[in-house]
Amino acid sequence: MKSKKPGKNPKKKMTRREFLRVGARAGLALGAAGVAGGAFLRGRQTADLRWQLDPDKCIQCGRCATHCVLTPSAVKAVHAYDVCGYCELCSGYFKPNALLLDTAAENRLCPVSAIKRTFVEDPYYQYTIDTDLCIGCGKCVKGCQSFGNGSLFLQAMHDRCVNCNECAIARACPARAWTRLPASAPYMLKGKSRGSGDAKK
Amino acid sequence: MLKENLVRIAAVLGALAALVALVTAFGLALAPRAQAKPEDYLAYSLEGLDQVPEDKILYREAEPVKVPAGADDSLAGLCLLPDGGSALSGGSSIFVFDRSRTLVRTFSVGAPAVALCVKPGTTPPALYVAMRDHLEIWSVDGRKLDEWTSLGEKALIASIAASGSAVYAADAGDKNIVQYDTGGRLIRFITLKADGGDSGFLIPGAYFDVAFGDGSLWAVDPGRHRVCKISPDGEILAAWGRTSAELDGFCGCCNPVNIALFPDGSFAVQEKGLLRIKLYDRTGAFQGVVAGPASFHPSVKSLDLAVGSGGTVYAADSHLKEVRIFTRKGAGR
Amino acid sequence: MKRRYAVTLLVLALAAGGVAHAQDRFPRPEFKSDYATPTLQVPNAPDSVYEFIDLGVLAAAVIAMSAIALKLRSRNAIFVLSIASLVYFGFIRRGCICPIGAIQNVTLALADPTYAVPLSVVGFFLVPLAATLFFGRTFCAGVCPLGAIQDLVVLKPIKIPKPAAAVLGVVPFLYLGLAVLFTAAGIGFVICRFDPFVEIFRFGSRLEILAYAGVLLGIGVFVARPYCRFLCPYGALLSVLSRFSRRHVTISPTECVECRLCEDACPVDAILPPAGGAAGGTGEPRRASVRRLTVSVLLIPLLMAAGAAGGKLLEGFFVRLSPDVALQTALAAEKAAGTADAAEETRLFRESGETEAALAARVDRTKAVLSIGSALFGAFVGLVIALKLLGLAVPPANTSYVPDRAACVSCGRCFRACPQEHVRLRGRINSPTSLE
Repeated sequence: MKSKKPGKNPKKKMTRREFLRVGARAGLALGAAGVAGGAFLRGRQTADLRWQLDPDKCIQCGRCATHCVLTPSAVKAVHAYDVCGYCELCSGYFKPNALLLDTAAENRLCPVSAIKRTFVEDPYYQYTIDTDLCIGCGKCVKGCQSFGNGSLFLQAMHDRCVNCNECAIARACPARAWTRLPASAPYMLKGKSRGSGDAKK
Repeated sequence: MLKENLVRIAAVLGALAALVALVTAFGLALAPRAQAKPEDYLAYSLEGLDQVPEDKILYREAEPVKVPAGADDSLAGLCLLPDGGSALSGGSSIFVFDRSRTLVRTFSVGAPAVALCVKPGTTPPALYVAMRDHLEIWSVDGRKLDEWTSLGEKALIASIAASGSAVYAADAGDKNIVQYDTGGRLIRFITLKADGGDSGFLIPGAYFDVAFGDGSLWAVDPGRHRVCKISPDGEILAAWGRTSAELDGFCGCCNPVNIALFPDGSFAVQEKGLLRIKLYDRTGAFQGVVAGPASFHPSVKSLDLAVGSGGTVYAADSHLKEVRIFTRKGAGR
Repeated sequence: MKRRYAVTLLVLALAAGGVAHAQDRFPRPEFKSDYATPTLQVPNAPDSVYEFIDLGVLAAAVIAMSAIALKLRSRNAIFVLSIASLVYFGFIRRGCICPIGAIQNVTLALADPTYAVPLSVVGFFLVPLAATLFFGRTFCAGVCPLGAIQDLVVLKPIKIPKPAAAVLGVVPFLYLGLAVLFTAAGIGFVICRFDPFVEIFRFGSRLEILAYAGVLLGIGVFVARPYCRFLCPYGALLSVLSRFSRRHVTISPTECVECRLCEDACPVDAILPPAGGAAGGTGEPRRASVRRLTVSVLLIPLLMAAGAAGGKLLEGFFVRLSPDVALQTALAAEKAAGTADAAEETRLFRESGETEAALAARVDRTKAVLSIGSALFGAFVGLVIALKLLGLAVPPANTSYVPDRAACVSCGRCFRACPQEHVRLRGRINSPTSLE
């Protein structure tokens, strides 16, 4: 901003202003490049980052359903079948004091009926999440987590997530479960898929 | 001129007012606010099932014993030693306490020890230590005495129990109980025979507890919410337990998780989900509660139990890294 | 390179560590039928390449906008490009990442060693800055979707009295300072949180933000581009850079004839009239002018010191804005009152199993940053005010009607107001209808 100082010699005024202008421009360019370059060099992150939640930290408070900028939330329950017990009495499917183990609404935990229960063989049942219906409230996850194996868990679905610069759910998350992951491996999965991250569709 | 100045002053004041309003609005919007509980339909609720009436709680908690285990180590095996001390596995370490509950020794067994029990009739006391797929014998002063053969890739030993002549390892992976003699020779695989067929144990999770007491082998059949007394060939000699979310029953996919037998044949039983330790008499009739969900952190799944003289119940709490001690409320009851 | 390798190793170690979790040590059900366990399937994330495509689109749009504003001089083309940009960056890409928000990512990368800012985000931050150094604020003209949407509603622009505009003109710098401070202190990304138009771009439902957008667009009918001029922190940066830009939009394509016809055309009051006499001075004695300048220069350190003191006074207020501090305070209050888990936040904190020591460490860091940062913020605001005063003290040098380079957003509304432009157009197109 020194260029604002007036020239002492009125005849040279314009040229001096011009000289100072060029100097200031170079200084500002260097400054901007320095700040941005310094910021980049600290992490050298070339890939982009995507928001995701760590299911091992998640406590299923319900805010994934309410705080996402999308309606319904981009967070959905997913099912790691390879750690599921296929129980008849699934604590992620039934209310804790369900009277009957059937598919009647009053016995079911999910508020939007997004879990499908299919008989496999005695005494096993398969549970499948309908991602289009799921609102990401995590009720089933909590039931499965506290009574069962934790095969149900929440993940942000990256075909829906708009990847806000500051994720509104992350900000509200009381368990600080949200992190930014590289776009090439944007999931934190359970079971055999754990660590594979970018499981293909 | 005057009018022009007035307009200027008004404009500046207006701008300042707008600025103040803006800053205030942003400050208010930014201030951390108390968040409400999520609406009912979005929140998982145990619907009051986690409440235990005070008169059903027969125990009070005594000063717990801190265990210097690592943050990620689970306190998986707890057993009482004949000399009144106790031993506890936390991760790959074994912690030995004397009768005054002072930590006297810590030693590493090289791999995560998932269960622990005392080898009866040996002095100095020796411990059966279960790893994921095999058993080892260690003296309480930290010497490895023996290592038995592996049960294979699929094995997931969840607990062990020992009688004078046999050792039983509950293998959740293969869904059977492996019986060894004291020399480590594999005698037989015990699976459950009931209902006229070879139904097997129903084990949806990695929790599968066995206990030896009152001259018999007891095991949980968690998928069917029951505790069974089983003969060596797998016949159910007795079974108790009912499916219910009520205080006296077991609920969820797989409960109970841990059992321990008192000398008189009654049981201390731990459930997950509705995290509580309960008492049942030798016929399986509900007696009361040792500690309810309010006593434990919700992340706790398994509390390995041990029972001592006078009805004292010890529970290994992996969240707090403590051995929790519960004693019977006064004789007045 | 080494560092990235280490990060990869860490990720691998974490993944391997996960195998020990209880839910992974798991007894598989033994199915008698030929049932096959399905595998968990999750949709892929959009590839990183899309961000770089966006970055390319941004660079192309800024260059195109510069060419249109500086060479083609077509308000209609600026309008069309701004609509296209609004549709692409606003409604298709839905707002994130944007250069305005990228200020915070760059700040966070410098303040928090656990955050690595992606290359494309650095690009988003840098491209409009670089373009502004060459061509002035052509990014604001309509490449920025926030500017574009506001420009659509400029119907009856009124002139803001200069003193009021001067006072409100400090706000973007305040906002910039606060955004940097709050990001560094871990309070959050305030620019994104108070982005007025993102809810429109996403057809979102946060009522307070939609109301905020409504108010800004309502005001924007009369006071053109209120967000750009009186709020936008990135605009604050660009206004500084634009002052020294290599080239800039001109009102007249050739020589100004001082007809004053352009003055009413500018919706953002960014046209400077020629200064006084032929010498370019204001007519007052040189000595008085020099004295005023000296005083203004001496005011810089004074105002900075005063600002630092004022900022320090705000430290307590800033500290209370931190959610971590609020949580710690709530926990302490509950401990004192003996009512554990009375509030939802403290109950969930206990349920999460996080230690109070970890929370205290974060609070300490926030407090340490704010202890220095609040004074620096105050000093920065002092500097901004001092430089604004200095700017008033410097005699203007322009001898004709020129755009105020700091305030001009290159919207191009002044082009057609200039009779010289009509001469140019007639010469180029040679068609009398183009005069209409």
